[in-house]
Amino acid sequence: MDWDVVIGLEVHAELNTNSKVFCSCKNEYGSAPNTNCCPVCIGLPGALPVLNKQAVKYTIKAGLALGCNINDIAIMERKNYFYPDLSKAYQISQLVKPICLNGGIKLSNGKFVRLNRIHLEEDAGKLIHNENIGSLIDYNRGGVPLIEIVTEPDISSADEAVEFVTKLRNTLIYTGVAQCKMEEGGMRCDVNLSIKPKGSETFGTRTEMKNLNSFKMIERAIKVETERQIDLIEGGGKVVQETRRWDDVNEETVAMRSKETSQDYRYFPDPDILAVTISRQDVEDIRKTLPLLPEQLKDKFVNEYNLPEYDADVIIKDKEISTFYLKCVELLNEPKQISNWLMTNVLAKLKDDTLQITPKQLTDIISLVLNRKISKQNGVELFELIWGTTDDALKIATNKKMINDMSADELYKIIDEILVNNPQVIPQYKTEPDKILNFLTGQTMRQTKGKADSKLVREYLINKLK
Amino acid sequence: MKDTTLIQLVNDIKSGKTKAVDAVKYYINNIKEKSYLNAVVEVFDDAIQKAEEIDKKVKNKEPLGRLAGAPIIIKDNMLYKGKKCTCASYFLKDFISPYTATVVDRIIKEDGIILGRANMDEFAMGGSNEKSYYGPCKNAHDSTRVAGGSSGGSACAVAADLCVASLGTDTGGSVRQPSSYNGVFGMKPTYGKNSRYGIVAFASSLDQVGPITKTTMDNALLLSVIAGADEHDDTSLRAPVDNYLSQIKGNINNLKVGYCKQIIEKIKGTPYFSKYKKVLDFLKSQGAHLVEISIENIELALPCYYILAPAEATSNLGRFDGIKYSTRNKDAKNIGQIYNFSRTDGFGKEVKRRIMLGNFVLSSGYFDAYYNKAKALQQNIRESFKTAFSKCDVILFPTTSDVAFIIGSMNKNPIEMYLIDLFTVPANIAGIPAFSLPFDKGENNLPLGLQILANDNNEGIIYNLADFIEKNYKESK
Amino acid sequence: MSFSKKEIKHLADLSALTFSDEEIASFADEFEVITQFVSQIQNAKIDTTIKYEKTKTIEQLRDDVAKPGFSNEEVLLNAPEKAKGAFKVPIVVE
Repeated sequence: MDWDVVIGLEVHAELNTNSKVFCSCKNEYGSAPNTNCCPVCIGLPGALPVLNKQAVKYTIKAGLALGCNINDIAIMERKNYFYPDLSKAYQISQLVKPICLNGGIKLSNGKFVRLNRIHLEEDAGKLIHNENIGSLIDYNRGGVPLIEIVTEPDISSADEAVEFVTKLRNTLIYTGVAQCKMEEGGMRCDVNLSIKPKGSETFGTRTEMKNLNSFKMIERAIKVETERQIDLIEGGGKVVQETRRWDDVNEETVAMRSKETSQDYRYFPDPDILAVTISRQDVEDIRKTLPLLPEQLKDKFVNEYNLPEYDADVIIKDKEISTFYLKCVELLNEPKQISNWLMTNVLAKLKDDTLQITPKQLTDIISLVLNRKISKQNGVELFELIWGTTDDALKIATNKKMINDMSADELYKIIDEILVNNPQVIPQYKTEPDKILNFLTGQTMRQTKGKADSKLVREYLINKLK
Repeated sequence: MKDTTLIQLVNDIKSGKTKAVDAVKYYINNIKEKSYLNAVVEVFDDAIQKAEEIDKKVKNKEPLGRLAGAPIIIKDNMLYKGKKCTCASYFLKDFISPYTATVVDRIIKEDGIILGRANMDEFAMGGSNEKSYYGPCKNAHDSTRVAGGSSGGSACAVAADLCVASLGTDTGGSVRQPSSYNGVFGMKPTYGKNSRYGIVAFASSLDQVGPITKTTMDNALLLSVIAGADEHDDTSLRAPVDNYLSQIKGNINNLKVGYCKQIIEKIKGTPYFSKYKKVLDFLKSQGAHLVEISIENIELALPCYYILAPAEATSNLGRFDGIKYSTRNKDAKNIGQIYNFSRTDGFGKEVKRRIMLGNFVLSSGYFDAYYNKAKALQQNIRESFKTAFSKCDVILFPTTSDVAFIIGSMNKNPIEMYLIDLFTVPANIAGIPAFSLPFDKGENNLPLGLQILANDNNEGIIYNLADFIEKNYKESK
Repeated sequence: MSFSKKEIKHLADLSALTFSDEEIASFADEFEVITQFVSQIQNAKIDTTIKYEKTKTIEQLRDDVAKPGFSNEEVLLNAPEKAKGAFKVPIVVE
C-alpha cells in the first residue's frame, strides 16, 4: 500500500522587541527566574494588558516578507485553559481577525507551501522540573511576543518540512523581526501529521507533535511518526487524534497524558484590548522598511552579478554573510572573485569562529591579488594574518615583504635564468609538462620569495617552452 | 464633625479649623461603635500617621491637594500597596497588594487619606453584601436589612458616617443599588472614565469604579480627582476630564428629561410609581421638559448582562489557582488537585455559580447562541440609548423599585436576586453614565433611590440635575 | 433546556471545580432556570454583525520601551510555596 503523508506546520517565533507584548518588562533570554516580571505578566488581580506597537509592526513586517495580506483590523482574543506556565489561565492570542492571512513559501522542488495565517500572541512562562523539589515556574518568558505562522497541509515529506522551516527562519532573520535562536527556544515547531492512501481525497486522522526545536528533531519526528501511523493502520488499527511528545532519547513519539484530544478554549475577544485598525498607509510604511529578502537577493546575485545558483544559495543562507558580501561588492566590483574568497576562505573560518574580517580588509586583499601586487598564496596568508585584527591589508603586506615590486621584465629575467640553470627540463617538458611546470614555478616562487604571481609565471613558461 | 461633607471637611482641614488627625480618629471611633454594621473590614494602621503628615503640611503652609485630609474608604477589591486586598473571599484572605490601583493613587496624590477597606459581596458578585467571607454588611438605617451590593460596605460606611466618602465598583448596579438602599449618592461613570488598573476584575467590559458620597457636589469633586486616562488601562478614555463642580449651575431650565415607556410598564402599580411621577411633575414645574422615550430591547438588558458578565468573570477568575498568590489547599498532591481543591475551597457558592454559567455560555456549541448574540444585543441596546438621547438630555429610571430587603429573605432562587438589577444593568450594558440619589422614602421610612442616566461623558449634566433635586425637592430630605 | 449530570460535570472540569453529587444535581436544576431566563435574548431581531466602535490605530499603541518591573521578592510576595526564586508546585508530568 502506498501512502501520502500530509503535513501542516505551526511555527512559533519570538519577536525581537525590547519589551514584552502586553507590558513593559524586558524581553530578554537568560535572566534569573522571575526578574523580568510585573503585575501584568504574572497575572496579578487588577493587572491589564497594554499592547506593544512594535510587536504589531513586526508581525505585519513578517507577513509582508512572506507574501501575506494584512487585515485592516486586528482583534486580540482570550484562549482559556489551565496550565501552571500560563499565569492568567488564558493566553492572549488571535482567532477571527489575525493580523496576516495567506502568503507562502516556494520550495526548491517547485511546490508552493501556502500559509493560512500569521497571528500575534504571547508566550507562556517556563516550567523547570526538579525531581527533588517539584516543578518550578519562571514567568520571565511569560508575555514575550510570539508570531504563530500556520501553514496549510501542503507539505508531503520530512525534507520539505525542513526546507520550509529553514527558508521561513532565514526570511524572518532577514527582516530583523526575530532572531530565531532555536537553542534558546526562539523558534519552535509544531507538526500536524496524517497519512492517506496515495491519491485519495480524504484526509486521515492527524496527530500533533509539539515544540520540536531543532531541524534534526523535525526531520526525525516526522519520519518516525509517519512510520508509526503506517504500521498502525496496516496492522488494522486506527490513528487517534492526540498530541504526542517527541522523545529524543528513544527516538519515538509518545502520547501526552495531560493534554485532552479536544480542549474547549472558549475563545472570545479580549475586552481589555481595543481592536487595532491597520491602514493601507501603515502597511506601505512598513513595507518600505523591508530589506532585500533571500530569494530576492538570489535573483540579484544570479541575474545581476552572474553568480552560479550554487554560489548564490550559499551566500543567502545567512544574513550576516549576505550583508557582508553586498558590502564587499559595493567596495570592489568583482562579485565572482569575492564570492570565491567568501565560500572558500571565509566560510572555512566561520566553522569555528565568528566573522572577524571587515569588507574593506577582504576587498583590499582581493584587489592586491587581482592587481598582481601579491601572489594568490600570499593573499591567503595575508587573509589569515589579518583575521581578528583591525590592521590594514597593504600595511601588513608591505611589512611582510609580500608586495611584488618586480616588473614583468624582471620576473621574466629570473625565469630565464632558472631555465638556463636547468637545461634538462626542456626535453622533459615534452613528456611530463605538468610536472616540469610545477617544478619550474616552484623554483621561481622560491627565487622571488613567494612574491611572484604564479599565474603569470606559468603563462610565461608555457609560452617559452612551446 | 458629625455628618460633615467631603467639601466642607477638606475646607476645614485646609483652613486649620479641623485637624486631619481628629477627623481620622472621629471616623475610627464611629467604626468601632457601629461595628455591628460590619461595613469596614479593616482600618489601615497608618491612617493616623498619614493624617499627621497632612496636618504638618497645613501648619507649614505647604500646598495641599484637593482632598486634603479626607478619610476615604476603598472597597476590598482595590489594590493598595502593602495592604491586604481580599475581595471578601477566603481565597484571598492573606493576599497583600504589591502595587496600588491608579484611582487609589490619585486620591493619595491629592492628599486624601485611605482609611480602610469596605465589606463587599465576594469578588463583587452579588446584590446584597450577604455573600462575604466576613459575613453580611447591614443596612445603615436598619440592621435587619441588607446593605445592598456588591459595594454594600462602601455605601453603608458613608451613610453611617464611618468615613467622609468611599469608592465602590459597579458592574451591574453595585454602586448605585447599595447607595439607593442606604440613602447616599453613587455614580457609575461612562465606561472608561476611571482606570481599572489595580481593580480586581469581575466583568472587564462592564466594571467601573464609582464614588459614593453624602452629597452630589462631593461626588462631583471625588470623580474629577480619580477620573482620566491611564497608560496602564487601554480601555480608559483619552478625553480630558471635566471640572464637574463647575457644571452644577443651580437650575434645570429647558432640561429635557426623558421617561422610558418600557420602564414605566415595569413599575406601574407599585408604590414606587407614584413617587416617580411626583418627582417628574416637580421637575416640570421647575422648568424641565418631560419627554416620553422608547428604548428598544431594554427589557433584554438583564438577560444580556447575565450572559456577558459571567462569561468575562469566568475568564478573569481563572488566575486564582493556588499557585501564585491565592490560598492553596494543603492536601493537594498534584497540580490538578492544586487547581481543583484550592478553587473549590476558595470560592463561595455564588462565585462558583457564575464561573460555571460563564463557561457554559462560552463553550463550543453555545457560544454563538449565547455569548455572540449577547454581544450583538449589547451593541443594539447602546444604539437604542443613543437614539433616545437625541430626544432628551437625561433619562430617569428607578434605581430599585423597593427599599432594602430583609437579610436572608432572597435566597430561594438566583433569578429572584438577579431581577433586582433590572433597572441598573442597562447603563452598564450601554456603557453610559448613571447616578443614584436618594429622592424619597419607602416602607418603614427607608431610603428610595432615583437614577439619572445620560449619554457618554455627560456626568456634568447628571450632577447638575441631581444637585438641583437634592437641594430643592423636599421629599429627598 | 435541561442539563444532564454529564454536562454539569464537563462545566465543572472546565472550571477546575469539584462538586458533590447533590451540588451537581442542584446546579442542573438552577441552570435550567437560568438558561431559560437568559435565552430570552434569542427573540431579539437584531443586526448581529459586530461593529468596532472603539478602536486604536497602530500609532496610538504603547511604545516599545523596556521598564523595570518587580523585584524577585515582590513577584513571590504572596506565593504559597516557592523555591530558587520561582513558584513551586508538585512535579508536573507532561
